[in-house]
Amino acid sequence: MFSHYKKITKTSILVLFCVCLTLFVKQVFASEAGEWTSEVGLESTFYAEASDTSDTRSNYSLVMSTEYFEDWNDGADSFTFSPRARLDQHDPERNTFDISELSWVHVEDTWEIRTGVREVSWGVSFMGSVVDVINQTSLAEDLFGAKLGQPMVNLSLVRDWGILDLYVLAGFREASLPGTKSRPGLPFELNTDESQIPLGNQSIYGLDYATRWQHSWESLEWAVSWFHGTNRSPDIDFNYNVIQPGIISTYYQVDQLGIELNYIWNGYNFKYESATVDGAKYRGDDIGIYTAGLLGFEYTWGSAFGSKYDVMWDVSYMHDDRKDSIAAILEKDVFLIGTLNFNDEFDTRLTLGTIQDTHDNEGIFLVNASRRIAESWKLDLSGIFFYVDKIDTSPEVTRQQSQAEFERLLRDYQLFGDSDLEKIIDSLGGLIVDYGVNSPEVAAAIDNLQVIVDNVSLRSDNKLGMLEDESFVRLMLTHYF
Amino acid sequence: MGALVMTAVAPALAETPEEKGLKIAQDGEKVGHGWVDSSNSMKMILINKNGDETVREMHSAAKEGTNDDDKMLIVFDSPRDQKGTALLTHGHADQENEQWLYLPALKKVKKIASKAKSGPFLGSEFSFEDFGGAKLENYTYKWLRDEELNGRKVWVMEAYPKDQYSGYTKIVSWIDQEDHRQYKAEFWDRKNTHLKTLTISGYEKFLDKFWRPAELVMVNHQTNKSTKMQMGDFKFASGLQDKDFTTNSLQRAR
Repeated sequence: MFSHYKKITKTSILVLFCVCLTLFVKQVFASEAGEWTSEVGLESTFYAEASDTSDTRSNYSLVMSTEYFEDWNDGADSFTFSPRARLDQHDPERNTFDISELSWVHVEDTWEIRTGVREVSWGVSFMGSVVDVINQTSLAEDLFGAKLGQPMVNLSLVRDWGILDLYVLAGFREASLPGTKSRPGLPFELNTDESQIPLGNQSIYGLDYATRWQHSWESLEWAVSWFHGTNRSPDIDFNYNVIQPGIISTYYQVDQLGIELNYIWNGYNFKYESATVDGAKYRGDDIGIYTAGLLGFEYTWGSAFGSKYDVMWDVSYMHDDRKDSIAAILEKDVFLIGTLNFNDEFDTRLTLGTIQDTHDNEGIFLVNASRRIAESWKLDLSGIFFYVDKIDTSPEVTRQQSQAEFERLLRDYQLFGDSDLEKIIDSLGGLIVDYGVNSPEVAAAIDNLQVIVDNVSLRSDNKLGMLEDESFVRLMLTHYF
Repeated sequence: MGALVMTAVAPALAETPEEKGLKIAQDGEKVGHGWVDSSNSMKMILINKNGDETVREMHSAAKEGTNDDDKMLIVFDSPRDQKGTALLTHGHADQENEQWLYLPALKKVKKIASKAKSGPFLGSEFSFEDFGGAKLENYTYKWLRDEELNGRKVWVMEAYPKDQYSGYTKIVSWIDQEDHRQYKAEFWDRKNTHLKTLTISGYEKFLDKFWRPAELVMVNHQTNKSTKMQMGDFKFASGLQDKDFTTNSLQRAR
């Protein structure tokens, strides 16, 4: 519990500072009492199969969030506090607490300043924006990523030439990953103590910077953004220690240029966004400048077939230069999503979608149905089905192999870089010397090695491979109050 | 006596029913001008054929433009799962209106292509096109007759939407001859059958000039559902500016 904050002391001090500052501002200036808005939800998930890492076939999770809002000076000043917590049945990494928002906003005629912990959304896409970079992501919280509150000062200028946002982001936050008991889970726990920001990659005073200019001309709207700072998506890798295996994340300094376009024409909403990133690495190797982009359109077919229903189509193509990186699961994919809106008093909605890799026979089917079942209760049913062509390219490691045979086997498959291979051989070799080949210690290490080998061999051609057994149906019941 | 009637009718004969209809609509638009800015609360009660009610509450603010470029912000207060959702509309004389939706759960602004005019507004019996934003030139008009309604002299006239995406073939309106208040409207669907009837009541005058109703009731004769829209807390000329209608203000709208 409270793991996000425990591990990064600097950030927690900063968050505390923000709490004190905003509470002070609120105490001094605010007069009227504010308003609380809360929700609590029970998430029940059911899996079709057991997975490699877990036999769990069902999981329950309790999600709570609340927001306190108060404004004064005729709305020129406002204060928002919005914490969020989750209690998970199986995975302690999913017992989380986060402050999504704790901020003070002051508005003037041509500018506003937002200070504190906030969530910021960039991008025109609702399925995997590539430019959205301000907030860190928690993959523990949600398979598709939930935002973690980011401490910042954001000056926003509202002028004839558009809206210009300037951000100073303080207190970098690490990405969180699900643990071994989650589904989908990682083969080993993320070892945050071993997470690192290599020398020469520390931000000066721990500050990152960003800016975004948005403007429009007739039906065309655009935004150009730039981010300089610690990469939000870390370079995730094994520690290659077969005795105490773990996952480590390494953060590098990156620069990102983002472009967003939105053009409305004849009921169509055309969208384009791209991010060009310099400085990212994959398993320690520089990958140079890469670009990820998304191009698509939305069309709403109102009163379909003369009924009161409407159907919204969202068709997008996503592209990512990075071939090997796990971060680029959606590398060259086509999204096709259709939403049937019932336009009734219960806001009933049904969504069907598919994400299909254009190169390989793998993809995702998704279905979602939601409806308000009483004044302040909502039911949401969703299903996600993964289909993959799993190509097993991993060699089998056994105790019978000698150290030299291990080395040759692993080198032949070219799964590891030289330094990683060295770490494996060193830890395993030491163990064999100390305990003997037939010891349970060596057996456990060999099992760990096999897991590493299996996962490392999941190359770009079947990245969804690790999600093969993770298809699920989820029921979410939420109460608003 | 006969001569008196003749002189009263003669000017009317000079114009066709179409011209008279257009004149009524034009005058009505002129009377409506000059409100500068306004805000009010709205409560929508959706009633199904069994009489079950669903309530939606919202509040809105609007600023008058100089040339059909009015700006409007609607913020939803209930049901609770939609609290904080907000819709910003920028009207344009020479191009389609622009609309942005703020989704509080995602903290994201979404530009929307507002083509689906005939669809229901939030599951109510009102459709998007029933809500203001209608421009004079989007319809052709025809005066039908003069009548008396609730002791007031009214014109009965028809408006025919030009837009092929409209859900109506015609809208029949009952309009006060003195101050252009609308009391009633009948909506005829694409199959030219009577679809809905709107009744407007509880008018109150603001700034000594602008009539605003307290209740609009829309009854759908084909589904037997109805929607009551109650308005209140009217405020005029409270100094709203363009800066209150940007995508920045949309994100902090409450």
